[in-house]
Amino acid sequence: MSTDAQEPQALSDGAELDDDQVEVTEPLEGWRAVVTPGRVLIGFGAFLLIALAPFATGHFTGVHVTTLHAIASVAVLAIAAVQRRYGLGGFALFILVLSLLWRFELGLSDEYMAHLIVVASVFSILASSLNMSVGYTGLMSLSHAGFMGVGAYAFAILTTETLNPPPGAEVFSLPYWPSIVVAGLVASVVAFIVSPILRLRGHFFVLATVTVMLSLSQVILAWRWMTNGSLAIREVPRPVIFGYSFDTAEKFMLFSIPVAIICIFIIRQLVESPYGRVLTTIRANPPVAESIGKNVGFVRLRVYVITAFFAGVAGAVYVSYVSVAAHSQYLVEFSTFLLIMVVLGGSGRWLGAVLGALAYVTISEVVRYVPELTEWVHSYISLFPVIPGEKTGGITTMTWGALLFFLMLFRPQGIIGRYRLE
Amino acid sequence: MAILEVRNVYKSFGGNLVLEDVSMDAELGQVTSLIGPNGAGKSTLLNIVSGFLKADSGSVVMDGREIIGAPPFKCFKAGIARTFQDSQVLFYMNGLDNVVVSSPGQRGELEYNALLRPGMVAAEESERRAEAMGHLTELNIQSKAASLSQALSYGQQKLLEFARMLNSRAQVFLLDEPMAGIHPDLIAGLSEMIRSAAVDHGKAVILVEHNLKVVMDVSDYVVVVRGEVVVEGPPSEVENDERLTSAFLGFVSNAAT
Repeated sequence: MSTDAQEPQALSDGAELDDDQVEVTEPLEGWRAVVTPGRVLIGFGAFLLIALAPFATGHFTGVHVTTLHAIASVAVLAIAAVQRRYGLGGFALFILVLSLLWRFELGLSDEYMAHLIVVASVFSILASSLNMSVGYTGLMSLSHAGFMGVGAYAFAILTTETLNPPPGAEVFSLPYWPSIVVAGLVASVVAFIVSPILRLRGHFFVLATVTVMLSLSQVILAWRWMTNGSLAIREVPRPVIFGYSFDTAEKFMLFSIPVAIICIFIIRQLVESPYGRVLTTIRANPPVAESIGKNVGFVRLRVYVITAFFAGVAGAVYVSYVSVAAHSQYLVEFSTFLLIMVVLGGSGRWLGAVLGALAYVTISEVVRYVPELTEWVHSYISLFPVIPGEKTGGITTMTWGALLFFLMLFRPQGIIGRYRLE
Repeated sequence: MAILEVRNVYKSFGGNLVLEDVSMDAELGQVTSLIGPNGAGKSTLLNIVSGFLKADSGSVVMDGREIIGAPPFKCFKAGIARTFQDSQVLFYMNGLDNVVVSSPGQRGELEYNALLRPGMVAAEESERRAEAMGHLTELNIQSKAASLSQALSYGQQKLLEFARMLNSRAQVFLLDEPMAGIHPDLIAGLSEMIRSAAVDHGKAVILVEHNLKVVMDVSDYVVVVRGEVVVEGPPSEVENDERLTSAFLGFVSNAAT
């Protein structure tokens, strides 16, 4: 508790505070207010783009990615240390150690590194959109994976012409670039159609969103004339600019990072404005929001439709990358992982969702390489037990579970949660 | 001409008639109190005026406009602000945000402006923040502007809520039992605050309160309700009226019929 809360107040009746509800928002001064972790991260994103551009024409080496990772991590670590934001600092340290470990000890390929960056950028769009819904407005939605699927399929149907286009693809077709926006709009329209579920509250709403997600998945499966059903749509095209095709993971990264930055920037502008304050008011207390002139129902509808748009865009980018649209990709498991990203990063913070997505991708890789990691530790500390690779069927999931357990135990507010436990 | 006119309001829950032909006025610059025993329909009337409940029949005219049946946010736009029985600060938002948010007609609350006209929104925002800070300073809780609202004491939360209401620029304030749960020593301060809302800020205050002493001290006009209006008038008259006592003791229906 800060000191000024303890000074005698004219109107203080000594109400008890919950342990986890302690204020920390002291305004920062001078350069510390200017150089924020968010700005450093945006700078890093821009830097990454510029630095990687030359390599995308031919090939670049993973050493560069590692170097950039290291520079950015050290920078964020320093800022976090000065600002005493331990969650962010821990995250930066974690990324730094891992990126060195990956490069020099596990020897991952360049393309694989680029693949991770692409996946992380798609997930950060999704997590940001879900964060606007869950973290800011309090709409606990599990339907965003469904909207991503709608966006992905809309995009695939609009653009695919080769191999096995579904009959619907002959009816609907558009060039690549407008298709991304249209995919988002289609997801928005679907969100608008199902929006009567917004009248529900609490866990009734959550259940309704699960229903929406499952129904969307089944509709995709059943509308064979449009979607090919269980046969999936294959050979979804990659983007081409002036004859330059983003056909490999290294090149696609240069497409997915800017799209992610644009989407996250738009979401940030929304949630950091008076509009965002209306959203947090609605999350905190809908009757009060209504009593001070906010049209709660209408704002909820707008948020649901807007976040569905970004989920749809993310779906379009994703399907263009993996080049196969299959309905099974957008299911319950994926919805839960999206939610984990938001909670992991710190809900109600726009940057939190981005960090959550990065952390999710990174940790997923770590738990995949648990056997190799144990071997690596074993090579230095011979007492350390080795988990053999062929027996690791459940070890990755178990490690995930244990990590989440300890995270929720010791840092329930996520990486950059607003509220520090003391 | 009263700013708020409540006329012939009826409300029943199931077969239970809670409000029967209730009429009352609120004037700018005056504190009008609603008193009555538990279950007399005071809070129900407040909820009807602020749009949280729909009346069965009757009319509520705010500044010449009929608002009965309008949703709460429209009642607010017509100029009615309210507080709730429990302290209802906005958790995980700081003191200043708790107050600024009630500023009416913020253009930055539209997606279009927030995205495409950031300069205008920022200029408007700094004005609104200064205004909200003024209200915090007036209530002497300016040091809590950056604190999360749930870290404040109950009394400070009440003040924060009051600042939010002042900041709303509404003409009519509905206060639902502001003294409930407040330490007795602080009641004088809150009473003064309510007086100043009416006298200094020129608002029409409707006060629902159980503490009769506070009501008689603060009010310009008192309405005693028990399903219907039992007696009304300036506090000096109502105080000595035997119908006040009988309303609280439960003899009113005999006396009225």
